[in-house]
Amino acid sequence: MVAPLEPEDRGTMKQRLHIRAVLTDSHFLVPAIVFLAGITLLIVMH
Amino acid sequence: MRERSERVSTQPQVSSAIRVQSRHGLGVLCGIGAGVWLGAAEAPTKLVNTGLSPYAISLCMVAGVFTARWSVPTLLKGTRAVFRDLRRNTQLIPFAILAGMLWAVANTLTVFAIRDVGLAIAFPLWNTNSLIGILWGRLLFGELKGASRANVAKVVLGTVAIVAAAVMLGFSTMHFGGTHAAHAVDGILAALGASLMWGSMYIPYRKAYLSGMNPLSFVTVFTVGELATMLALVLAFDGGVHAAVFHSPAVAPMLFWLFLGGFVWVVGDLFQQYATKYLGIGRGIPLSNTNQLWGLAWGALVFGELAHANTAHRLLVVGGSLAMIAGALAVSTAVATERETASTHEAIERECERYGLQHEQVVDAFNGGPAAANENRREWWDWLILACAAGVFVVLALKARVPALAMHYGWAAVLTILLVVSAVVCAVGLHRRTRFA
Repeated sequence: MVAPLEPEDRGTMKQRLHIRAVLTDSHFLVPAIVFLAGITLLIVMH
Repeated sequence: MRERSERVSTQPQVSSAIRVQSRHGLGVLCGIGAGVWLGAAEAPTKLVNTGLSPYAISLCMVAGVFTARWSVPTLLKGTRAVFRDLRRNTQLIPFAILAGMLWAVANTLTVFAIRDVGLAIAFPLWNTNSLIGILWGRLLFGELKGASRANVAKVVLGTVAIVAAAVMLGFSTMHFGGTHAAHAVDGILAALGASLMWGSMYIPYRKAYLSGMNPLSFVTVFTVGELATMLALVLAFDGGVHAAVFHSPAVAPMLFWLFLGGFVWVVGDLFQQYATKYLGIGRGIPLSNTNQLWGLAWGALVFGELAHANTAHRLLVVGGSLAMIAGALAVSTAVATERETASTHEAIERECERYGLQHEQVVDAFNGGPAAANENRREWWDWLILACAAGVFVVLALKARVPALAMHYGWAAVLTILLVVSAVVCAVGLHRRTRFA
């Protein structure tokens, strides 16, 4: 669990923990992987 | 005495059931409203006939969506509330941008799918996106978990009926011909890719609302991701800075129609967002996918697209329309049971636990409760933004050229009235129940 971010948290460890929480969230990973697959397909087709 | 204590103990259950019913009713209203508006969004684009590339057309329409976001939605909730909401939920900003990026790439893939296998094959494939939505809803958010068998059957069969009906209605306006065998695999992959991307786009939608974000805030960031990605695609694949969309004299006279399409789309998408919030992906998305019915109504009644249809095409229209209405009825009547509602609350708890959110605040925002509803103050700059957005539309309207196209203005008036009525009914429902929270 990460504490909510405040404006003064920019560049701090707390912000890095927040970014890590987002990047390791399955709700982010699944659409991100789908996006990468989709954009790859688009580039190959073009 | 015992009777009284029984009455007291059942009271919270009764009020909870009423709350669930009320949320469900509001969600169904928004899902149907989304279908009406998203179906009408294509109508203005039928007036565009310039020979520009699909990338250019998409970019202009997305620019219209971006501008339109600062029109009516700014009236509903001031920018101060939207930016406060975004500051409170900074973790959701990448999710909303990602959703916009998914939309833009999926939309472009459909262009390749049509090129390689034709609309007749591509269209049914990408229309399965609501089934993908149901799958992600079940796997990632526990939707339909604990639902009664009857409700699962209503949602799944209702969605299949809507997908099948969309395909039938799509076929009724298609012109067959030409072989595409050489690139068939590419085209099928592109159509399936678009379906997967649109179906996965609903993951960020649902996550945002389980975290208590307001749909108007989500759409604000979504349109930024959408516009930036579409611009990048034009620069990468459509001639870079020399692309016709930036220089062609044919662009200015048709921009108004594409912006108008964008405006209609953004209103439809907002209702779709509220439907996802109050019903979940599994029920909300199939309902908004009834847009095919309304798109066909505009095409057939206003633009005369079925004027030369044979009996088989007319039967497809009647059968498709009936199947879509039956599917929508099935999904609409699948009210979540208490066990299913409990799994939604588990999903909310997961968000609170992961991102340190205030549980009570999130539940209040999720339910459109009083705290979330009391943030509608508009400032002087909101009126300025609104005036600028409206000004863009007025300037483009003055430059617009009305193409010489046979149109039935009587039906256009009827469908426009229906459009306005559906928006008013949804808006009144959202205002009374949640103040657009």
